Amino acid sequence: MNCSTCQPLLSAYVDEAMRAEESAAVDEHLRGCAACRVVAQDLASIRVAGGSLEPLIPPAHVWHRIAAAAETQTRASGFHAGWFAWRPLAAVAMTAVLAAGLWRVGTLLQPAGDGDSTPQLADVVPAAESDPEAHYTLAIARLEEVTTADQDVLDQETAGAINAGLTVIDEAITESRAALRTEPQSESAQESLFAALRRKVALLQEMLALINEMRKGNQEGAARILSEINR
Amino acid sequence: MNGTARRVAVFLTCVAIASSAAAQDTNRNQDTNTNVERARAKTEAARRAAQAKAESAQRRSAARGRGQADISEAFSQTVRLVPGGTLDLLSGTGDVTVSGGGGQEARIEAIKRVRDTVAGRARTAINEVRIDVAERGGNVEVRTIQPRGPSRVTVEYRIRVPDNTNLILRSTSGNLHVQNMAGDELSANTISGRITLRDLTSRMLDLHSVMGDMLLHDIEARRAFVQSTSGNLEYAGRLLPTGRYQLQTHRGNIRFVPSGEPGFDLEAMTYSGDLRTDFVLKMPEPLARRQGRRPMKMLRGTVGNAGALVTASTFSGNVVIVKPE
Repeated sequence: MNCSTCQPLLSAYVDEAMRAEESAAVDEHLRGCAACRVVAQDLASIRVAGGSLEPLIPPAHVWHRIAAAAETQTRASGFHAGWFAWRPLAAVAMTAVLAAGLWRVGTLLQPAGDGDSTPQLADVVPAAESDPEAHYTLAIARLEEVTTADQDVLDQETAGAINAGLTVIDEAITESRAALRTEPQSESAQESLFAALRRKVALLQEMLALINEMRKGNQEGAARILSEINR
Repeated sequence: MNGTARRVAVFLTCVAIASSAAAQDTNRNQDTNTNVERARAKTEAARRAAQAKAESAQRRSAARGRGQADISEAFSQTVRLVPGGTLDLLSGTGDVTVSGGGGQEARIEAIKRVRDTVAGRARTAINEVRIDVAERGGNVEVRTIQPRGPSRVTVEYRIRVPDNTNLILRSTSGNLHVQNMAGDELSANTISGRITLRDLTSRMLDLHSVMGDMLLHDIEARRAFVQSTSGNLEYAGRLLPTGRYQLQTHRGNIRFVPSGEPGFDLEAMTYSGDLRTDFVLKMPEPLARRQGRRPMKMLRGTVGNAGALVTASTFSGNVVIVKPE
């Protein structure tokens, strides 16, 4: 390892976000290189300083709080520019996260024959001008449409386990929504709703990938694809 | 006289408005409770129906059991797995146990088992169950290939790996159990199984289950994300000063037991359960005052000198943050 290969790794090194063998290689280089050692020490100082700041990890419910506050402000002032200036950005960000997952499935989907239609991302995620829950709901609806039609290609054990899982997740979504209808500000209900929606999208993606591989009679591929999706 | 009448009218109007607001508030609370109760009742009904269906299937299976074939076959393979390498296992139905040991290899033992009412079909099925083990650059991939058909197939794994091994474990329905390990990353995902970790050091833990409980004991991790939909979560272990620990479940309870002299920021919440902690929390003043008047549904505060960040969230379960016994 030389300085040009070592320095891009130093940030991850001081964050202890590297695998042990990579970290050992950086260690070895640092022992013999004063210049990189200085950079590493600087980064470590920044990290320590950063560590003393208040932690800021925005949970799912923050979206609702910001949206509610922004809407209140919009109504009160009649000034729409601030809200509309950032709302599409937030929606685009949420869409991008969801789209990345769906694109991943899309790339893994190969139609079994000419008559098959691979779900297009544009079908699943329309314009970015809506809230994240709507995006999850749309994505789930489209994924369910495909998986319901074709799930008989899965073996009974697998299909049974996945469907039982989906039932439990649906119950969680129903309970969270019922709570939010009457207490829209409840953070635990918001947290639960988004966790359940994320989990359902992930499970349906797994199911869809499995179905596609099984339809092609490729059980080894199905096993492989499951592990790729979850990496 | 007119002035008195006006004052009386104003007074009566105020009383009417206040009564109306109080009635609306009461109605709203009643609506909340009714909706949640209705959702719970629906959930309970669905669960009872599912349970009845499962019991019925079990009875039918038992009735057929007299003529049932039950075939099992052992599998064993040892492959090179360098310390710091990764074991990536994809399993279908069946329990998985992974233990740390010395050396530079992974020993994979498995029991394939097939049950069917037709003996010939069971024999065919067990021949179609495959365990593919591939070694790539010091890492190991294990894939379970199960046949389609009416036979009930399970594959139970017992795997021994070097202490310092990263793990990626996936299972459809089966318990995942990991013990005596010191890897860099551990990722485990199951739909209906329980995940149990014991005596484990790992920089990163990423654990998901839909219906299973997750029990983590004697853990030392820098990042832990533990998530289930209906399972209970239990985490007992030492917190690292810059560690992040996130536990989330919908219907389960959360029990968090930090050991040593922990300092952490805590955010714990529940919608319809209870919150309890043994630790003295330094809370922001307005929050502390507000919580004095009603049952706690949210806890935010600092223990000791902070450092680690702990978030615990459940919808209908309880959250308990306690000191080790």
